[in-house]
Amino acid sequence: MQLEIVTPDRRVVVGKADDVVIPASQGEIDVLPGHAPYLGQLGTGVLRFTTEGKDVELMVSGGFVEVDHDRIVLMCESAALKGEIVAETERKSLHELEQKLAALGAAGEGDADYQGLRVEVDRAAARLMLVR
Amino acid sequence: MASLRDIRKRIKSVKNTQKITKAMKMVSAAKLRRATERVMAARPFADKIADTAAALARRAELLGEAPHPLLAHRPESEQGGTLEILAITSDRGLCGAFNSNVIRRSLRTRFDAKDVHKQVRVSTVGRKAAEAMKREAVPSRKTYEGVWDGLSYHKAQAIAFELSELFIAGEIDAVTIVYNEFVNAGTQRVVVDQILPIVAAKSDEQDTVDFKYEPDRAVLLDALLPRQLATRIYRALLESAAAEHAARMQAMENASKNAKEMVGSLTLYYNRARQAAITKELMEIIGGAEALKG
Repeated sequence: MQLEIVTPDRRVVVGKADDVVIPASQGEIDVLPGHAPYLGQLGTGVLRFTTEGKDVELMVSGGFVEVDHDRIVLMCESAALKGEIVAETERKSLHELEQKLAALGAAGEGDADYQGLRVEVDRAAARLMLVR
Repeated sequence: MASLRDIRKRIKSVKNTQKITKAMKMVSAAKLRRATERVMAARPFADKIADTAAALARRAELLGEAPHPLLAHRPESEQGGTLEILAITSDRGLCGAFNSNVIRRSLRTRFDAKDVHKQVRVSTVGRKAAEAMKREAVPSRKTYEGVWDGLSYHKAQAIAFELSELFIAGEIDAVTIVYNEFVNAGTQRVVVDQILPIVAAKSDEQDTVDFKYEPDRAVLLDALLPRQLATRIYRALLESAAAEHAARMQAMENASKNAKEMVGSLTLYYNRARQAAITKELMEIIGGAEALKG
């Protein structure tokens, strides 16, 4: 199968892959060759696939996944390969984000800043989980 | 006539200016390279989102469903509604006509649109546009600030979501962006583009392959279209950033050239003045010697 993972800033992965496990918004989906055409939303979590016998893991979050004729395309808002993530920096940024979130407090729960920060926290946590 | 010391001082000061403009040119050249790479890198995502959205919109059309509100061509979008102009400039100057081109074009678009639309509003990205609108006493709906410090897709998406909401609520009926497009290192072109309502890309989706949609088609299109808009705005911002660096590079190149010419003519003037002083001294000595002889 052809796998392509793009974000607004770069093409993260392009190449052959078999057995792709995708964190869709409604739960993980496992895509094998001959999968039915599918279009869904992405959640936040770890995507795993094997290519030439190697396992690859990356954090993906937000966006869409399309499976069509053994072609998988992920359009994600954020993605990071396992090798790109540095645990220490991630821990620090997660800590900072959580503090910012706490500073906004329960009062700001409804507004866009709060929601955005919430998403950032989830993403940082997912990245951290991948390297731990 | 200026004294020799004054001229020397002047030459030194121009040379210093030249050093600064040269350095700024180098910095802009490096930034320009990175900015153009970003423009290229943003393309695959934007194309994919647009394709997917177009295919979904086409499918809805084939099934005879009402078009999505962001696509809907309500008559007010063309005429008699509220138009919003989003003017994109930089925060900083020293880049030639880069900003004034966009500002002039925005003001003209606003002027022309008044004949067609009931109301025309302006929003700005970048300090230069905000200052200009204030100067021209054009009220802005919103001045988006801090977009250029750490420009990210996220910031474009925030603008896109806000515009989408206003559009769906019927507060605005059309949005036009005005920005500088990067053509090449020597050319920037002002682009005026309508971004709302969204015109779905042509999709040749004919086959009836039934996709499994999760959660469902309507929700997906709801999520896709504002993101498609976000990629349009992000593209405009990236183009503008690249064009800005190109414009500044050119402006600094010109300034360096002017400084060089100035140093040349000042040096000539300096040498002439020095020669005149020497000649005068010689004349005085000769004059003195002649007088003694007599």
